[in-house]
Amino acid sequence: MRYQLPLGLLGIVAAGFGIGMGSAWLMTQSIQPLDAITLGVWIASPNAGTPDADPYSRARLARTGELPLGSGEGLALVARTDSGGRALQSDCIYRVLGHTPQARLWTLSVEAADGRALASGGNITAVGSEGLFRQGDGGLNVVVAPTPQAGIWLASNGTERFDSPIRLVARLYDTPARTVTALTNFVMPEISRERCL
Amino acid sequence: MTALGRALGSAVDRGIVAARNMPSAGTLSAGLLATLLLAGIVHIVTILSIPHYSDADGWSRAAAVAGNGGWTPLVSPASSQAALPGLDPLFVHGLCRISINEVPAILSLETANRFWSLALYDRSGTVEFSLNDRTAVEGALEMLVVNSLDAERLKESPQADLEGMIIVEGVSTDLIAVLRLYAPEPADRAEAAAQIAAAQCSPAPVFTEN
Repeated sequence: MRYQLPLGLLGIVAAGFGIGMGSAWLMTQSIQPLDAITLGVWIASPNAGTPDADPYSRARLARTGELPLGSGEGLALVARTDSGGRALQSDCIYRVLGHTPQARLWTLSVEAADGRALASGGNITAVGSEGLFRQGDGGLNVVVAPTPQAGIWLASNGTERFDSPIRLVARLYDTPARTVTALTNFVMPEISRERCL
Repeated sequence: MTALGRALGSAVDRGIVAARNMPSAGTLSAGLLATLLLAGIVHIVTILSIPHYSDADGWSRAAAVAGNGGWTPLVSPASSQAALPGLDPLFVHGLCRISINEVPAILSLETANRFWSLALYDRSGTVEFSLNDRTAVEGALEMLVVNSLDAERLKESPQADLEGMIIVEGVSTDLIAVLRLYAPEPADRAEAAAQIAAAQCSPAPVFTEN
């Protein structure tokens, strides 16, 4: 009887801390911020880096180590899956096709899943919007692949393993898409998987 | 008889002890409630304290790179994304830590006609102020960052030589400025690096005591 209460208390404290910290850790591991806006496969977090950011997004951002773009600069949209819902991999060929929201400047880059640069060995991993890269209808047509491709090719080689997870990031600069209401009316390109090597 | 009585009695005693050791439904649910309550508190405290204790957050990473005097350039995409994940590989970046506790800080940049933007981050990684070349005056950056006390002093006695400058009042007195210059080609990168090297980020004693 004498040992019953302390043991029970100990169990409660251990379980309480375990569940509390475990669930907190799980929340920061989740890739998608809570207050995210999704445009097809593209995810943006316009509240990141503002005083309106929720505590979970703050904790998540503190773990990834990114400094979000300010509202006067632009907005980043991140894709981690193709339009079929499959995770983007460095050993597959993807076509990014369609229109981007209005912005004075945008860039599209392929990066490691944690936001680090790929060691592409001199191959191009990012393109800017400067006229050149537009189709006749003003749309975007880019191929992401580990091997050279015709047209505008972003190299996804240079990952640690042959089939590492990758992400595509579209950064829109000086854009009205920054406001949440405007964002929901915009369209972003589709990412279709052509085949895997 | 007595032996049997004793045996029976001890069996009954043991039964009672066993029943006492088994927690009742009320104790169990109280314990469960206490566990969940504690778990909830621990969860909230953990989430709220992560940004304060993390040494791999954006601010800490930027502070490890940024010098106190002038802009620290991050020119190659590999070096900038290694220092701070998620930086645009088509940009050249400049980082500068400014302390406006005692004197204001002046930030200036002369560039060609290409996109650039600037953001001031506080310790929590929150953007206190940001602008791009369109919002800046004639595309060039001329900015004075002051604390709230100096902002008051400026309102009372405007300084003539500060005309045309963007005056930003910092809520926090310890800030990191991140400058982003669009530089898609290698030649642009060299040019942007030279512009950052020539750019200004320094304490500015604008108040002359008399």
